[in-house]
This record gives sequence, structure tokens and C-alpha cells, in this order.
Amino acid sequence: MKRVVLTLAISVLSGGLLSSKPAVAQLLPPAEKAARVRITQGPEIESASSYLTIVRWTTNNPGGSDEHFGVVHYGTDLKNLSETAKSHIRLNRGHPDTVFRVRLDALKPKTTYHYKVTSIESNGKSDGEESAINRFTVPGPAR
Amino acid sequence: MQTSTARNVAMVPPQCPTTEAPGPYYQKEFFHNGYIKSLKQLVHFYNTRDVYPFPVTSGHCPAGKTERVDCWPMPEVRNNMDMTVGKLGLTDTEENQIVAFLQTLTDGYTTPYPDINTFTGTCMSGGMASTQGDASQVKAPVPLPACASAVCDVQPTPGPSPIP
Repeated sequence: MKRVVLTLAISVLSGGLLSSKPAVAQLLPPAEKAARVRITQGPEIESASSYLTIVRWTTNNPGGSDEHFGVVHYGTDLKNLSETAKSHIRLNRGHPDTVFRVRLDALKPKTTYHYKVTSIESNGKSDGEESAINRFTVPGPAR
Repeated sequence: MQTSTARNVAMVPPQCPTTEAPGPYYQKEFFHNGYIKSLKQLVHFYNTRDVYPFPVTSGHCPAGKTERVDCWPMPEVRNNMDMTVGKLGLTDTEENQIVAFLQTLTDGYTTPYPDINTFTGTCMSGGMASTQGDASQVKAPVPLPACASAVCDVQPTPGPSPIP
């Protein structure tokens, strides 16, 4: 009986070693998802120029995949936010909060845009939060 | 893609004992295209990329601005930019402290260029921290050649649209 147990143990151990995948083993599984993701600050315009506008907001840490994307739906028509911008950020599991920052390129100078924000995981799954619709005006070209 | 570690990131040929400005103002290059010349520039980039953005290519910052100091030209490709960094709000002293930390990652386990790859070049000299080596910079052509669609037309994951 002891011999059978020993053989079984060796088989399991060696099988585990032979089938191990070190590259995969080094990847952490996704963090636990937050029960509810809430926007705690913003969204607001971090910077705006005729060249580049950056929208920023803060949520509680949404968890899930470390790779996340901030998403901004925007447009000049309040009822038709037809444009989408998204920017990559990486979650810090040790932080209670997450700051999302999204670049909006090639906007029209001196034009008012409406926008709302949300965030998604690397697989495209929504974190479930969404802001109200805000607006901003792109400044004219710098002189 | 695998990411290399920061281990030994500050190592330079023994003849050229620093990566930092001022002179010798740089001895090695960083990033995929060598655009960054020192650890100080590297940290300053991540700290201020989104503070001093300009719609210009390298070598064409406005008058009064110094490239890699208070002018960062537009990115080659926007879609893969990481926005976790870019405006860290660090002071100059805090940037230097991060550089000092990176310099502690030299483990002394290997000596640089121990064999046929022994460094036989000359150390860079001259230059000033305020210009970050711009005097030797090769200007990017204007306009830039069109970006390959296989690069610039690829949206970042996840995709495709519409995004929920």
C-alpha cells in the first residue's frame, strides 16, 4: 500500500513538473472585481489645447484585469456622442483609487464638445460606471 | 511582448562613468529608438510628457523651448500610448531621487564588456544639462513620411467598436 501511495505521489509530482508552464505561472490571475465602481472625482479637463485635450477622472479601484482602458464618448451634438477615444492605463492593485486619463486628439479649435466617460477591462467588459454628460470648449491655436 | 527589467539599467562602459548630464552628457540610449539619452531624461519624460506636448516632430520645437526639457514632440504612434504616466507631478529633486534609485540596481554581478565586445569607443563629452544634447540632434524630416497603415491604423485593444 505504501508503495502505491509513493508511486502515486511521485507520478503527481513529476506530472506537475512536466506540465508546468513557467511563463504562464508568472502571470497573476485578475484581481477581484470591485462590488461597485464609482467615479469619485471628475471627469474634468486635465489640459486642453488646439493640439491635445486630456480628460481625467478617478474611480475606486475597479479590479479585474490589470490592463484597463479609459473611454470617452464625445461629440459636438449633445444627443449624439458619436466619437470614441480610449487610452490604456494599468491598475495598481495596491491603490484604493484609479486615475483614468484619456487623450483626445485632432479636435476642432474653438468648438464645444459634449462628453461622458466610462472604463473597460482588457477584454472589453465594462466596469459598469458612467459619468453624466459634461462639456468643454477647445481653445484656439496658440500664438 | 516581454518587458525587460530595470536591473543594471545604469551600467555604462567603465571609461564613461555616468549616463547623466552634464558632460559627459550621455553614454547610452534608451527606448526602442534611442530617443532618450539618460536616466534623468527618461524619468523627466514620464513625469512631463503630457505637460509639455507640442505638435511637432523631433528637432522642431518652438523657439525658446528645449526638446526633452520643456518640449516633447508628438508621438510616432498614438494608439499604444500608456496614460498611467505622463504627468506625475514630480519635482526636479524627486526625479533625481528616482534616478538615484535606478542607479542602485547595478548589482555588480557582471562587469561590462568583459570580452570581445569590449567598449573601444570614445566617451561623449561637452554639452549641458539645459540642452540635453540637442546640439548633436538630427532633425526629423518635415513632413514625416506617411505612417504605415499596419501600425497607425491599428486601434488599441480591446476592439473593435462599438465600445459598450
